Amino acid sequence: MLSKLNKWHILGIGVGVALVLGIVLFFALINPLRNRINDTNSQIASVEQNGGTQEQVAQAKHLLETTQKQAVQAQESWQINQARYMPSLPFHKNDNSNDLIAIYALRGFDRLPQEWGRWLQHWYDSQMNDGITLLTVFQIPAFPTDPNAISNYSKGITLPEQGKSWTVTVMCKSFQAAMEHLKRINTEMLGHGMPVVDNVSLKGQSPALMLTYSLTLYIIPNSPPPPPDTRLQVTSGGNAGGGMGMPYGMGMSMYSGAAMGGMGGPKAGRPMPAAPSGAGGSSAGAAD
Amino acid sequence: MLRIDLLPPYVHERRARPVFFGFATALVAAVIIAFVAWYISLKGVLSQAQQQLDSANSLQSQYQDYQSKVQQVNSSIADIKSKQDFIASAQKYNDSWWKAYTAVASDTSPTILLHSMEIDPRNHNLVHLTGFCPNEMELARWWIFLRNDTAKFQSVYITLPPHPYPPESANAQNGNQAYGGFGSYGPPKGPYGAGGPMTSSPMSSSPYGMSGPPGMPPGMPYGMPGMPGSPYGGMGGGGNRNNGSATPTEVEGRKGLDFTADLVLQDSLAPPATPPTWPPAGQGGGTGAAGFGGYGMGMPPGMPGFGPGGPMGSQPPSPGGGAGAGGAE
Repeated sequence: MLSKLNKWHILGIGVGVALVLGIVLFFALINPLRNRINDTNSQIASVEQNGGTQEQVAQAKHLLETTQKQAVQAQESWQINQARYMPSLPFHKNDNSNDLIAIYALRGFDRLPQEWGRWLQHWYDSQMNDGITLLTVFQIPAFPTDPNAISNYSKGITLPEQGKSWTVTVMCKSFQAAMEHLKRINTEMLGHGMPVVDNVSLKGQSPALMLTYSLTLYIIPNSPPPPPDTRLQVTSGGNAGGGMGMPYGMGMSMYSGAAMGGMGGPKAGRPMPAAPSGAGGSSAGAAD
Repeated sequence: MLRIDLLPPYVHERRARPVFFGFATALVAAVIIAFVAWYISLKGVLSQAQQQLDSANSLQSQYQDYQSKVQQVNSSIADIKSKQDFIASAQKYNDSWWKAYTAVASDTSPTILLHSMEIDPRNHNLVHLTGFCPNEMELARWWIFLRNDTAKFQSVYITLPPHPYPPESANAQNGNQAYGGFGSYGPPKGPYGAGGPMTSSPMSSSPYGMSGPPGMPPGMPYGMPGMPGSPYGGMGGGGNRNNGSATPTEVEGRKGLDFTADLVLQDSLAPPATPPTWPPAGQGGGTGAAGFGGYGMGMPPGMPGFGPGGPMGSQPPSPGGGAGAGGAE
């Protein structure tokens, strides 16, 4: 048989075998390897797109350092501003007591509106020498009589009340005095919440220049108030109206025209905080 | 000598066959060797890619680690950051008011007396002014001064109030009186482009870009409004003052004109659009209605007080101590 093959047959068979062998080897060895390489390259591209490069790591590291610095700065700034603007609310005292009634009545949480009103009056009165005369009485609605309501102040307290502001009018001896007064709201109205001034207007002429604006105080508590006490059951019913204040009479202060608020009555079916003794006269409104 | 091969051809072919076998075998072997070499080189490329992938994975894990740390830091500081952002924006907002008013006030004229100045509560770019000026000329000068201060004002509109025809004071002094308004600087905006109405007479006295056509016959009931399309607006319908002392109002014995003005501040000067607020705390239950105030009659100390009720005054406590919210100190 072999003896009958001429040289062309031998060459043809050799080329054919080489061709078939090449095809077999390509698909058996080379092609799978190339596919794996392609897969790996696409994985590399995908990984590199998603932060797998030295540059991106360096950027992320820089971002982390910047964020950490900003966090430290924000914390320091907040600590400074908290100390400047935010009061220490009665439920922040470190005696680990969660007794709502104690917080509400004994520590004086219920007296905050009263104290804030006085403080604001004094803050404005102290600027008399700077040419500022207050023509506004600060009214602050009382807090709810339900001690459990204290837990609602976890985010903050807005004075005079949520969604409202005082309309403050001061008489200024000059435009400069009026502007200095506005500057002092940021720099000297401290320790009673962050003041926000809005709708500023000027009317009249010096030395009776009328400066009018709206003022709101935002108190952000440092730590959340205690949770509601389930023993203090709340029943339905609104609060009673405030009682009538006593008319002018004995023992008046020098401040004429002052309108001290009467006291609200208790809610029906609601336990009242212990009534502390003191100088306050009573004028309880009727419970509904 | 010629050599003659007398052997048959198959003898030569038989001799050459091993050579061709060798060629064919060498060809197959070469193919095998080539493919093996290719395979080995691809193996090298693959292992290099694998190393690169491992390195990229390692970098990616570092990257993700940094990112998660950034998120941790951000989430840990989010509460404080929101509080600090509120304080910062409130400070900025508070300061923006006196800055805006001081900027406007620094452009007032000694001859102009302002009655009121107010930044519009709904549009903090707009400042409303009312004032008094001794005469139309001073007001025009001030208007030009304001409109030239483009660093502070986008546009300036000044309006003089309409006067009845014929003005009593003008008649009394045998002079025709009419005042219009000063238009805007820049493209007209809103209703302020046109000048105010006027009562009579040709406009010829004001050199400040009056838009009304000169030579209007005396006695025209209304002047021409300021040209709304003019780049500088115009002083709408200023009247001819035959007698310069004829004025509608007086301040401290001096006669002059009342006017209103609207200044559009540049954005950088105006307070931010909305005041910052802190998320509200829910109010539980109703609060007591307002109590009617009044100082007490010196109620004896120790009277029990009920819970807090209505709003209260802010005055210091009276020595008598009566009344007030919530009793005890």
